[in-house]
Amino acid sequence: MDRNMPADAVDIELLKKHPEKYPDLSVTQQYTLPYETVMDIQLAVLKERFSHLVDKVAVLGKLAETQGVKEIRDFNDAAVLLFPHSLYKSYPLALLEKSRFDLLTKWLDTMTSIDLSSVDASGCAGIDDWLDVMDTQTELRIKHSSGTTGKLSFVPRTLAETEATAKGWRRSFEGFAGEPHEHALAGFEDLHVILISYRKGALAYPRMMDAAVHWLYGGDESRIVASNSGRMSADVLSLGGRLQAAQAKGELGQLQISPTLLARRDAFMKEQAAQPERLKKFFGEIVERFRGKRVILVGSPPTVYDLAVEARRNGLTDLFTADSLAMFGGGAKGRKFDEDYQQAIAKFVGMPRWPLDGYGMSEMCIGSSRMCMHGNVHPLPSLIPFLFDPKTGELLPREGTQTGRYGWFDLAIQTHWGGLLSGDRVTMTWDKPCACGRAGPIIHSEIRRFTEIEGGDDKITCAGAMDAHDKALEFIAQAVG
Amino acid sequence: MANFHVPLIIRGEIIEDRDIEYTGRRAGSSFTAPDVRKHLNKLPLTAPSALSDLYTLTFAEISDYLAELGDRLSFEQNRHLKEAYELSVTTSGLSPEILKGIYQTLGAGFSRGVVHQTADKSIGIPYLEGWVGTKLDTGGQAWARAIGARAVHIIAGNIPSVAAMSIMRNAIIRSDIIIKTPSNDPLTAAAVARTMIEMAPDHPLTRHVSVAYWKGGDREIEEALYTPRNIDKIIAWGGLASITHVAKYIQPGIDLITLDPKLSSTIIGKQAFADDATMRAVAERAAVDVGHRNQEACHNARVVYVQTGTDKEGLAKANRFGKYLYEAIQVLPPHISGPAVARDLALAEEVNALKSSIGYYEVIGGGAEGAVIVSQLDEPVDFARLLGNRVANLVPFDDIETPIRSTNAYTQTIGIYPDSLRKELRDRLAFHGGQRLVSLGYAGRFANIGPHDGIEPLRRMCKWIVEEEYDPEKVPLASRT
Repeated sequence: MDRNMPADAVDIELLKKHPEKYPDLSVTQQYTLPYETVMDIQLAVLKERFSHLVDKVAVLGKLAETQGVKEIRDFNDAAVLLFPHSLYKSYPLALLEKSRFDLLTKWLDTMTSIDLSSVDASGCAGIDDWLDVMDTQTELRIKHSSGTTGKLSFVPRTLAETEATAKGWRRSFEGFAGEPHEHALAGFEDLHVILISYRKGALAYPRMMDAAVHWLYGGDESRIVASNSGRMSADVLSLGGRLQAAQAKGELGQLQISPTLLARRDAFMKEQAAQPERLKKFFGEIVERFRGKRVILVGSPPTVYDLAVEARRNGLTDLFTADSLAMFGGGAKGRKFDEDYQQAIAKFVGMPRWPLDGYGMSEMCIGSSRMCMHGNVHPLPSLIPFLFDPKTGELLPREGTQTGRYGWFDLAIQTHWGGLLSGDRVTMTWDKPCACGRAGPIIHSEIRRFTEIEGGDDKITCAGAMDAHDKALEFIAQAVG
Repeated sequence: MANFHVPLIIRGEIIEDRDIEYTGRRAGSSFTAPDVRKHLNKLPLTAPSALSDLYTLTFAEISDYLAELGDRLSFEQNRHLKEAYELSVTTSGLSPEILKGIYQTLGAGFSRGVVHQTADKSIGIPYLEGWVGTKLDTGGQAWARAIGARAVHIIAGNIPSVAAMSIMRNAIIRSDIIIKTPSNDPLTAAAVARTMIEMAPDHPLTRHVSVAYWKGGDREIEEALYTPRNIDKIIAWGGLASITHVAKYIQPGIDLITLDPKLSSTIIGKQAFADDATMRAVAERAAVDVGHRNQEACHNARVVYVQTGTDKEGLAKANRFGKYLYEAIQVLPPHISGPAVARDLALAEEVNALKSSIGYYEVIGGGAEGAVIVSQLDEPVDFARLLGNRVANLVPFDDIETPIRSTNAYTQTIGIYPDSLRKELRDRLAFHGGQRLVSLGYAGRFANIGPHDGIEPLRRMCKWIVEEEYDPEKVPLASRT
């Protein structure tokens, strides 16, 4: 499909069969489809996904049976089938501590339609090891979370599904008709990605980069210039989460480091020692190769900010062109800045202003959609939004303005159940279109996690992942004399 | 939103100003209170010698006073208690029925029997009444006496009895108490103090009780109060945050006694699973330990280790016992236990996820009525410290070492069945950190003989003074030997 194809020329029947092709449409096309049509497509896909997966994804079968759902007739039927987001970390932590990766694989097998019965994970010594085995022995490209209290969620995404992830990421830079960045994708194919993070690993960013290299850059790894070409280790991240949780509870004395991690200690130390030198080299490289050029910048605010400060110290601001693309996801949570970090980062890049924030979750296949110029979030047409009463759990009517707990079904997810109940509290307006011109419901910009509202949340956000990772490395370093 | 007023009480004087409005916990109510900062000059007892009026009293007189106070703390007749109850209903995690049950028995905590046993077993009445002598092997003679101290009690609000118990203990040890009340129970201590003032306004016991509410962490108040000039002891109930906070003020001259939040567990030996009738009977006992006061207290059972074995047959037994336990929890009388008043969202999410998951957990129930999660491995759930709202976790095991190893310094009570198993395990459980071993079903009873959480708080609340006498004729001076 062509980017400039008008909305009425969009192949509705194709989308009903292949909603993962939504990112082939321009943002304008996606949001000018009449929402009735969007919902038709959504319901058609929902029905098909359910009947296809109910016998193949054991946890879905179990939930459908408990809820007495035999088929999907309307959105209400699906509302009771959204998975609690903690389902993706419902394995016993002891399986990791005792290196029972065979049992962890069995657990994951109940979540996906991909047959994992022939995978041999018995020899895995750690999470990283297991992820590697899954990468090589299966079509899964498991994505893990940054981890609450050290327990990582594992989402069984496939390589094929990451095509929509990559294309959706690309599309996220584009604006709607009439918006200043409407044509932002012109020349996209020639741009380099400057990634201010670890390049490897199974956290959202590295996986996104894997997908981009595979599906957008024809396997050309040189298109990504990362501040750290190494791996954000899941084992270290898990330790980092437990470290933070133990610290918060005053139980640091009880924390044990697994022998697997201790065995890798020397490698970690070498890696850490090389960090300042590596950063210096990275910085030199981006200045030399990309100064005054248009680039795509990807990173979380704290790490990008640190780089911006370093650049400013060296007298360098407005490093790239004003029309460079940027994705600074993850928020600033957990980090206090001495100044307006958004302004500092924009100045560093050379952008007139901070890019529009997006809203999405790493469990989604086609990631986030950005706010419009009016400050509203518009759920992608490939996403069915649900709102629930936070007290009773009842589905709120899809009309008027409602505040509740946000759930969604991602049509692009094909091999596991795409429905998830988040921990976010959002306010949505269903039937009053936004002045920006996009059709469909809107999510108002104030979004909070319920657990925060109830007091306290030890979730390490993506933005905090680097920090947690590095703190854990320090802890490992001190662990043995 | 209900509105309440919380007075500031300083040694018999009631200050009723409404300087500040506070929001109660759970935002179900608000209350006004005087600004403690305005009264800082008279809140502390600056001269330690001002305790001497308490030494005009005999233990019998203290006991008479407390018995009369107990009679006046009749829930039906005491309007102050009724008001405290009404406020608690809006802030507490306990149901109105349970709260009423606690307030109805509050006065009984001041009975002669309780007071005598507490004084005699925790300290020894002769030490409170005078100097207790000992002949020394070396020829001299020595006497010891427990003297009162000036103390601030930062009390917990999960169960209203904590406020009453603190006042009772303070009277026994002839100390001066300043109670810093919690936001979820700012009135119970005040209700008892008001009753004392109505009963005997000039009595020394009345004149050594102060009750104040301020927002924990108020530096102006705490810096003025927590100095060795003004107090000798701080008795702090509460978690890491509040303890680290108070610890800032600790210096020579101030003794900090911490009563940390604890978790309790249960060990049920194989005898319980001999036949169905025994299983039912044992389940009833375990249900009391789990459900008593809605699992809001430290002593409640949370993780329940069951020696059913972990083979197929063992797991079937554990699952059946889980069903019996759940049923027994459901039929507990309402003044003991009931459905959750305020559900813990984070816990509900975890339970939901396990309910949907396959393989490692069986979940019985799961709504506001509570749940029993039966682990299918010999490992507790990873969120064991969140367990509350009548959610228990059964952990089957083969080897008795499994529950022993799980015991640590955070374990308060361990309910054990049968009693012979308790005798068999008691030394080892104590070595591992367990602090109280009780017949299954009786975790909610407390022996009141002194030890609590591994220390003897009453003894530590006293100042222990030694007097020594040597006759140079019998014990030569060091210079003469």
